[in-house]
Formats: sequence, C-alpha cells, structure tokens
Amino acid sequence: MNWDKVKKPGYILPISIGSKAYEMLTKGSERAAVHSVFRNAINLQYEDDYLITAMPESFSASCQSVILSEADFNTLKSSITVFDGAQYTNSPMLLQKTRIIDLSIPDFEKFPAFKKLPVEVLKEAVKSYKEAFGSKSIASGLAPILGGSGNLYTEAADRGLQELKESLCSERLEGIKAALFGFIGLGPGLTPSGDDFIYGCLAALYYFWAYKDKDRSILEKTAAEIAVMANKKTTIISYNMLRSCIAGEFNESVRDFCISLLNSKYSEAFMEKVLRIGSSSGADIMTGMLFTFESLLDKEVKNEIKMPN
Amino acid sequence: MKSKCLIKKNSYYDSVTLMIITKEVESVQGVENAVVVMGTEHNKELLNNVGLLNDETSAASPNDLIIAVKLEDDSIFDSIVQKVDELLNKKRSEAGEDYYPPTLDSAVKHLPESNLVIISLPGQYAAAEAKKALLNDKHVLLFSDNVTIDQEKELKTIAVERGLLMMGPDCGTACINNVPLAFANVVKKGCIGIVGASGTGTQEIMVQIDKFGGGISQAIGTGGRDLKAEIGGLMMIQGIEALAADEETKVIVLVSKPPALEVAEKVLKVLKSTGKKAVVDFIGGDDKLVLDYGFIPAATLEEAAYKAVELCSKSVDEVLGLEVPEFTKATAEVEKAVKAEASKLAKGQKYLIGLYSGGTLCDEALKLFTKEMGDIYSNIPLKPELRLPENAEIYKNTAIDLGDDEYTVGRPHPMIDSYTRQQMILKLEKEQEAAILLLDVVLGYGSNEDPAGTLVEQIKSVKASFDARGQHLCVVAGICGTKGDPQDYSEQVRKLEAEGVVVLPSNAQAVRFAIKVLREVL
Repeated sequence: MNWDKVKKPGYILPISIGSKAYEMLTKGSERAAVHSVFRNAINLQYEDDYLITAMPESFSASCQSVILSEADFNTLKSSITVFDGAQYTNSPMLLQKTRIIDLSIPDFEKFPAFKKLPVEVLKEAVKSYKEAFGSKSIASGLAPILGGSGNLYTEAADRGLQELKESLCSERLEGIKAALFGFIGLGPGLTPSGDDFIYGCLAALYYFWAYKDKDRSILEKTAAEIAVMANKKTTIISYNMLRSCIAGEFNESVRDFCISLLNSKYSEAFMEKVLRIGSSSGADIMTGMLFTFESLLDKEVKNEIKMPN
Repeated sequence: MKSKCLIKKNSYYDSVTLMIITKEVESVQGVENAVVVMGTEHNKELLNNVGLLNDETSAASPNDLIIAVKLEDDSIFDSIVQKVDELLNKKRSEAGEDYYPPTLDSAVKHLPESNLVIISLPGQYAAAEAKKALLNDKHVLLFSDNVTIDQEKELKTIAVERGLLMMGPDCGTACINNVPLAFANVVKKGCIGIVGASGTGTQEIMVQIDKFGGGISQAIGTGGRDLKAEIGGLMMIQGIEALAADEETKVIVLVSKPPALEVAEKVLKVLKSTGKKAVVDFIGGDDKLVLDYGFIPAATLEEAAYKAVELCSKSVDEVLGLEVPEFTKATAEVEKAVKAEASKLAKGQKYLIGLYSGGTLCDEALKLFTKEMGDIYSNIPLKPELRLPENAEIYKNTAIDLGDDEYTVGRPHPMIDSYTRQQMILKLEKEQEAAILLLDVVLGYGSNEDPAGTLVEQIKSVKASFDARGQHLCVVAGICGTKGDPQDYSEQVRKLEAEGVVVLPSNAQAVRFAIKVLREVL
C-alpha cells in the first residue's frame, strides 16, 4: 500500500485550494496567526498580512481559500483556539492530492459554445438580474443603490456614484479609480460594504474587458493602486480581498455569475451563489457588479448609436 | 443630544451580528441613532457627518469595531455597553449559529456559571491562560505540555490558595462528576475516587474498576510531575482533600510513578487524615511505606482496580489477603491459547516487541516483564543501560512508548493517530527473532474513533510475511476500554480477533499472556 495516498486520522486533506493559498502553504510559510473564526470561515494571517480562509465545501472559493469537507472543517475549527497571539501550524494539512482552483479569467474567444451577443441582449440580462435582486428588498449596506430607500451609507456614497457612473460610461480609468477610492472602507460590515462594492465593480470591469478582448494591463495597474490605498484605509480582510483583484482572480461564484451574464444565461442560481459570500458581502458585491455592467453596457449602446451605418 | 462610543480593539464579528447590534441599540429608549462600523477613515468621516466623531473614535484603527451612539441622556450608556457585550457574547445558536467564544474572557462572560476550563494550547501560551482561568476562580485541566516547572509551581500555588484544582500541565485524563474530560472512558458511577499522576494509568484503573463491577465518583488528574520534589504533590494533596470532602467517594485510589520519599510521606499523611480506605499504586514503588500507613499497595493497575472495588464492601485486612486472578478467563482456556500460539512459533523466535500508545501501560509492561523474564530495552527504560541503542528501533526484548516526545514531534499522539505504530508494525517483517508483538488498544473519548481498525491491515501484512517464511508472529493486545465507550468495544475485539490477535481485557493480562507464550519456547 502506498501510505502517501492514505489520509491519516487527524490530518486534513483539502478538497480544493486557491492558487494563492497553495503558493503560500507550499512555499514554506508554515506558521500563521489566527485572525478570526466564524461559523463557516477560519481566517489565518500569514506574512505580509496575507489571509488564507478555510471554508467548508458548500461555499465558493477565492484564490486565497482552502476548501475542506464539513468534517475536516470542523476538525480544523476544533483544533484552533482563538486568543491574543494564537498561532497555527500548517503541518496537519496534506496538499499533495488537492485540486488547485483555476480562477483566471477565461479567453472568451476560445470559450466553448460562447457567442458574443448584441448589447441589448446583455442589457436585458442585467435588467433581469436587477429585478430579481431588487425583489429581495435588501436595505442594508450599499444594496439600495440599485433601487429602494437609501440609508446612511448610500447617502454618503451618492456623490461618488455619480462620478463612477460617468467615468464608467466614458471608460475613463482615472475617474473610475478616483471614484472607487471614495468607497474604500465605507459602511458597515467586517468587509465594509464599500469594499465589497469595489470588488464587484472590478470583477465586472475585468470580465467585460476580457469579453471585449481588451488589454487588461492598465486595469491591473488601477486595481493595484486601489489595493495600496486599501492597505491603509480598511480592514485586513478587505485589503486581502481587494489585493486579490489585481490578478483578476475573483471568487468562483463571482466568476460564474460574470460568465453567465456575458453569455446571457440568466439563472437566479448564479445570483444566489454570489449572495452567499460572507454574511452580507455578497449583496454589496452584486450591487457593484450590476451597477458596473449596467453602466458599461449603457456606454456600448451609445457607441452603437454613434456608429455609422 | 450627547454622543458616546465604545471601541472594541481588533474585534471581528460577521455583518449579521453587527446589524443585530445596531438594531438592538437603536431600539433602546433614549437612543436617537446608532452606528456600528469598523474604524476606517471613511466611516470616521461618516461619523463626523452625523455628529458621532470624538477623540476616541478618531483614534480607532480600521481593524477596530466602533459602536457610536447618539442619545438623550448619557447615563443610559452603561446599560447600552452591557447590552452590546451581552449580544456579542450571547449564544449565537439562538440565531441558528453555534457560538465559539473567541477568548477566555468572552467565554467566562458567555457562561459565567462555568467552573472548569480545559486548556490545550502551545506550551508557551498555556500557563498564562491557565493563570487567567484560576484568577477567575475556575478549576483548570491543562492538557498542554511544555510548561516550565516554575510555572507549574506558581499555578498550583494559586490553585491551592483559592481552593481550586489545577490538573496538569500534561494532564490527559480526568472525569469530574461523571463528565469525562480529554482522554477518558465511559464508566459506571460509583464510590471510588482516583487521583492520578498518569493519564493511561488512570484510564486503565477506571476501565478495570468498571469491569470488576465498581464505579467512579471522580477521577482527578495532576500531571506527571506533581509528585516530584519541586512541586511536592500540591495537586495530589488538593485532589485527596477534594475526594475527602466528596460524600460520594468512599474509597480512594492513588496512582503515580514512585515519588520522592518526602513527597510520598506527605501525600500518605494527608490521605490518612481523610479517614477513607485507599489503594496506592506508586507503580514499582515502596509497598512497605504504603502498608505502614494502613493502605493497600498494588503491583499493577488492574490489581489497584480490583482491590479498590473489593474495598467498597470489605475491610482493609480482608482485601489485603486477596489474590487478584491472573486472568479473567478460565485457566484451562488461557493455557490452551498459550500452547496454540507457542506451537506455531519457529525455532529461533524468542523476543517480545511491545509497541505502546500509552506511556504508563508501557511502563507497566516493562516492570512485569523484568520481574518474570529479565532485561527489556525501551525508550523509557527502567535502567539507563536498557535504553535502546542509538539507531536501533528494536533491540532484543523491546517495549516502546510511541507517545513519547521523540515519536510525536509534528504529529498527533498515537492514541489519536496510528501512523507511527502502523509503520513500526510493518518494519517488524524483518525481525526474524521476534516471537510476540504486544499492543495496547486504548478506547474512550479523545482516542481514535477506530483504533483496532487502523492497525489490522498492518498486522495482517506482517503476519503474512512471517507465515511466508515458515514462522509465526503471535500478536497480543490488551484493550483499555469499556462497553460504553464510543468505539464499540465488541467490534474492536472482533476486528482484532479476525486477524488472529489474542485480545485480553487488561494490559497486565496481555503482558502475562505474552510471558507465558515466551516461556513455552525458551
């Protein structure tokens, strides 16, 4: 028998792992501080403030996630004690057989069965998602931006939204960046709503540019500048989330949602999966994505109108 | 309107919890507005816009939680703080979630009526948390090792001053008011109280008491160093006093490696003062001293259990005269099994190899074997010259404690993870002079969920290798467990017997059986 293939009792064999988490755990970073433990997430803080999040398999992964079976997640959770200065050592995790999750943006040109659709069709898809999202009447965070009565935070975001909309419609990255700076660390939540909103905006931008086959290097530079700002202005968890945007590696459910929308495969299931991210983050991410897709598609409509016959 | 705020440094709560807090605080009469946010710059700007920024909130970092409130009368702020603390510490199961208090302080607030804290942390942090628990007037079971002896002395001194139990460091077993803690077996409730400086020693006594029809009132662990001169038996004495005050406890059992003489005398004096009957198993220690104090000495863990059960209904003198049966099964049946195993051994097979997960069980095997057969090598030898030679994992007659530090660096204890023992069993294939493989199989809470199941494949493999070259490997296992244990005792026995393992109900019986087989061939 090959003992390397056997899961030993007390050891954890992740089901899948994000590329950044894999890199961190295999390059020799064995010790981490226990940052926080929630019902469905354990955040471990490595050097350079990199967080790796362990989650049970029913949750979608990001590039810094380790996905475990329910049993392994509970084993890990019970082995971790949270107290000031608590440390965690990776040794019980066996990564040899773990699937590395590829979250890179696909090449749409080579995407199987993918057809580029008229802008109006995509706008219809955004509209359907907006209606479905609106029917949930989410009043917290920045979700009311898309409709409904505002709150303290949407009022504070109002001016930035105007600037963002205009910049998205003209695709001015400097303006987009300046507007998004105004959302960093804004609002309630462990990842403040503004940060989740930025994450959704960047995901939509990255996927839309990929869909349009545009060079994303300048977008990466913008995302990097946002991450640098986030390092000073928001929580460690948010900073990690925004830093992961630079490489265009978004959460699995965010990726699936963007691809489905751009393929006009409307399904509430894609939306529901995004809404399951965090406790309320999913709603703010969805708000950012729908706001951005809508604005970008408005611009496309204008361009189409301008186009001579 | 006044503004007040509460800052929780480096506090991480999910958004649902924070929303609940916002709502609850806003519902307090006299509160006009409440904002619960992380202390980011933008949130501070927002607080400024609504008149809630002050010096305290200005100083918060992005990783601090701010609870800012605008209220009519600041005298209600204390009750708001209390409400927030209650909400943060309250059991989330009410909202469909389990609650894991993030710190000892929050655990104490969450469950103020609790009176015992179990601590299992890396050694360098463990002592500080244990001290915190003791200062909160909680008893402590400290599972962690790597606590210095000075720290242990300090912790135990605090415990004695406050009338608390400080079980550990390195305390693996206890059973308080019939609640098993750490590694412990499911045993009947009864009148026998144990104070043990040995984890598997205490487990084996508990299990055997259960098998002999007795029951446990309390089992108090002290940690292995308690009877060293530096600690002076502080917790064994505290444990004895606790059992003296416990009305359920009629008979006391002490178990420990042989203590320093002055410590032994101190402990026995306190035991005498309780007026309760007692069995003392200072494993391999001075029987005369125990007898001088009017207590019953025991040569094995099983004997300690047997005599303790008898003491519940008999006098000390009556029990002193009792002989413990060598085997639970009928002598003829045992002899038949011995002969059957011995007859299969080939010429030249003459050594016993013990691979133990329990340190005290290994120590007991060494003592019983030495008494009957002579020298046996080990990583925890009875004499320095019997330490296993360097680079030799096995040497002549050998018994290894696989729970010792050298085998557990970077991996769980062998009672949880059988990997090291599996590898060692497979390596026996080349030991042509080995006749007997002796094992312990420890059941109960904390142990592997299927300890026998994790070993049978390797046993089968190594037995097949012996068979293939015309030899036989006699495998003998002592089970430390009860029918109430979560692993299913009968199923564990069945799995072992299916692979030809001779299963005995105690470690002492397993060792005796192995010795009998060896005697047949030597």
